[in-house]
Amino acid sequence: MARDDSINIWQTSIMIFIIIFANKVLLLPSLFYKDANVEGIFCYIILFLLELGLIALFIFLKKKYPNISFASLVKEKFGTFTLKIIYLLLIIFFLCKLVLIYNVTYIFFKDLIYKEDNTILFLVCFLPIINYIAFMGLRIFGRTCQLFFPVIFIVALFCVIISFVSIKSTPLFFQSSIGDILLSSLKHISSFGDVIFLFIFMDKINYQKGDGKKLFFFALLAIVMIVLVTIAFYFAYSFTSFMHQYAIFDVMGNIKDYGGLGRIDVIAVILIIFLSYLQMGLYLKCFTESFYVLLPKLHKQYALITFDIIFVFIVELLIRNLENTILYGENILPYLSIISFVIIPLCVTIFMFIKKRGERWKK
Amino acid sequence: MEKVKKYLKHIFKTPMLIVFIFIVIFYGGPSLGKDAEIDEYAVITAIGLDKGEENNIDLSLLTFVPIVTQNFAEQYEVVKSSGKTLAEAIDFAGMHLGRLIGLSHVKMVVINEDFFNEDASSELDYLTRNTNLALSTTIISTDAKAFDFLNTVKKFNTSSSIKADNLVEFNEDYIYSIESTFETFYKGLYSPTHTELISFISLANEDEEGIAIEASTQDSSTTSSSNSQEQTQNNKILNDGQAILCKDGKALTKLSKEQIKNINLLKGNYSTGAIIIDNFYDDIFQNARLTFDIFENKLNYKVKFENGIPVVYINSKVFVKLSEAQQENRLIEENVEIKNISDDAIEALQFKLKEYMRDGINILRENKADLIDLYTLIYNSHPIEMKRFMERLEDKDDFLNYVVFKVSPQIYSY
Repeated sequence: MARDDSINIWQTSIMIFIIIFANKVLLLPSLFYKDANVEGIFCYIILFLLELGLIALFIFLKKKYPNISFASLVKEKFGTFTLKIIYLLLIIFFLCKLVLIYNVTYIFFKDLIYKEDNTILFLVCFLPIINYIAFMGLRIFGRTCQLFFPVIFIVALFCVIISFVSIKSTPLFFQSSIGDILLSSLKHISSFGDVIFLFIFMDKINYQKGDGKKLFFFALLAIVMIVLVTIAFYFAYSFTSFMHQYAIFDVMGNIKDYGGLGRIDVIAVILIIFLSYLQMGLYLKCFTESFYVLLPKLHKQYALITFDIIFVFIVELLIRNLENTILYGENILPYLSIISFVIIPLCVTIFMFIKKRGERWKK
Repeated sequence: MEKVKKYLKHIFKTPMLIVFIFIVIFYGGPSLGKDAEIDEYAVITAIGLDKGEENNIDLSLLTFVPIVTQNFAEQYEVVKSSGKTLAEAIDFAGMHLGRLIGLSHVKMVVINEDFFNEDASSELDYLTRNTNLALSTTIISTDAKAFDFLNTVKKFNTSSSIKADNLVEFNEDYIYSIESTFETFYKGLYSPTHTELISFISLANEDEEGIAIEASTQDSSTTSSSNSQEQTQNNKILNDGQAILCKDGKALTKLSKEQIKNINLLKGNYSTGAIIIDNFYDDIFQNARLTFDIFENKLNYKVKFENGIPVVYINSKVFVKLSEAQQENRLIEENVEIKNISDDAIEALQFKLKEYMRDGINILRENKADLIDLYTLIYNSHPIEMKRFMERLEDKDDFLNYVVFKVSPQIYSY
């Protein structure tokens, strides 16, 4: 394991916080409200439990195999063919998730700021930077996250606290059935399962006994903050929650002249810029890592060039507006979540089982 | 030369620098050569809607006109256009102005009350969905032509620091008025009882109440515009706290400021107002008129079901201050002690508040309008009983007539 490319547990925890918090407080609260009213909050809880389950699986696996990469494990237990299939699916997963995240961010900025600008300008602003993030070492990225984390956390905390000032009304409870909640959770499952990146960089994370608590703490911190913003959002807008597409921005904008500051929703915009760059950068990093496992003879640049071509093609031709993005996120992507919530956990379970069986046989 | 080579090598090793140079070359140059946005877009600050001939929509746009002046007065023009739909009328207005219509700065939409007599929700829906108008934009209904209203607003905005949209900005702080924005409209429309209130502002004559700004000599509102007119020199804008009560976007009735006050006493979200008690007698006052300022009204609702019928207990803690006492033949010195409110005064005030709150409940019942969102309150506290109660009703909109109210205001004086 190259020292330069390894990250410590703090950096990993910060990455978990960023990737969980990013983009879950924009479109999701209003989409959950549309399907499950205020009970949409339970959709978050169900899906976050799955997310925490993935972290738990990672910790179990890391304890058993502290210095082995996920790819090596798959190769060892299932052979090269299965490895290639799984990593091909992971490549598709990361690409499709990146398209979704990019589109949500793009529509957010286009609606609010760059109404007249075309997609090319936006691509020019985003693609080189996330390419650069993916190109540089994991350790540099970890340090970048560490450097920006205090700013991100303070701004996010400010948004959470301020969002409660905007509460004006009481929403109507007990309107949705368990079926509505489960169906809505299933529709938006693709927005979760972000912590899958832990498995990609498994061998590069320096993990010691007791570090699992740190991972869980940062994950729970992000989850609590998201749930609080969503609660504040539902209480601020109640019956019109489905009309407000950008939850964290809208709850900030709902406060009229707070403390003479005027439009403090700009603070939410800054937060989303930081989070979007880092989240997209991390996803592209996962894409290049998976690409390298699939085609080990090709250099990183080829992965980035491949990504850029496919990404621009999908973004330009298939998805341009909010309706298409929601359609894509609700109808196509949930199938890909099988990778994060079924295939990877299944692999991990088999790894654990095989080792145990192997040990018994040895005895 | 060596240094330059070294520098170039360094540049090509730093990809972000190349990106920066690319952005500067491809976007910096064209951006500098671009026309000013104000030349491309007409900045609209208020929209007016009237019913036109042959079911057309008459659109009036209060347009900001950038003119270099030595004073700080902002110049506006009203542009009028007509179309079969709102989208068409907006396009025609753009053609009249020779610019694209920019609606991002709209702060006020003035709608003639005729729209609410039918159904205004389709026009409001278009404005919300198609033009990216902020949901915090104020909606005002008026009995005057929206075009005349905007012409008065134009004079107002040009000649004073008070902008017309400011007149209703703090409405929610007064007990006599309501907040009226797209947000409040949709909140009411999508609530279980589909009722909403729209602020009603009229144009008054010169000798009536209201506010007017006389056109100054430096006012350049006479700048010629093919569609602007100067007909409303003497009109005043009168924000008298009136509101139109709508159900599903259609007007049911018009409420006065007194009626709004009674309803607001049940809602509690205001920060200033006055309650007057006439013909008051006690140890200090004889046949006096007392005015109490209300600072706060903390409301606590409790719901119980008795024999399948909801009973709503409204406990109101009202914080007041006796601010004015009028009575004949008394010197002001004798009224120094008016801060100490006697038990008789508190009792009288309690009685008055009960009376107002009862009237407020009657307004809600008569109009079958749940303006205080009681349905949500009862449903949230007793969902199963409320479902059963509603199932028993023939007219579900009339549920307030079957709810028992128990009001108990408590007075606290400063």
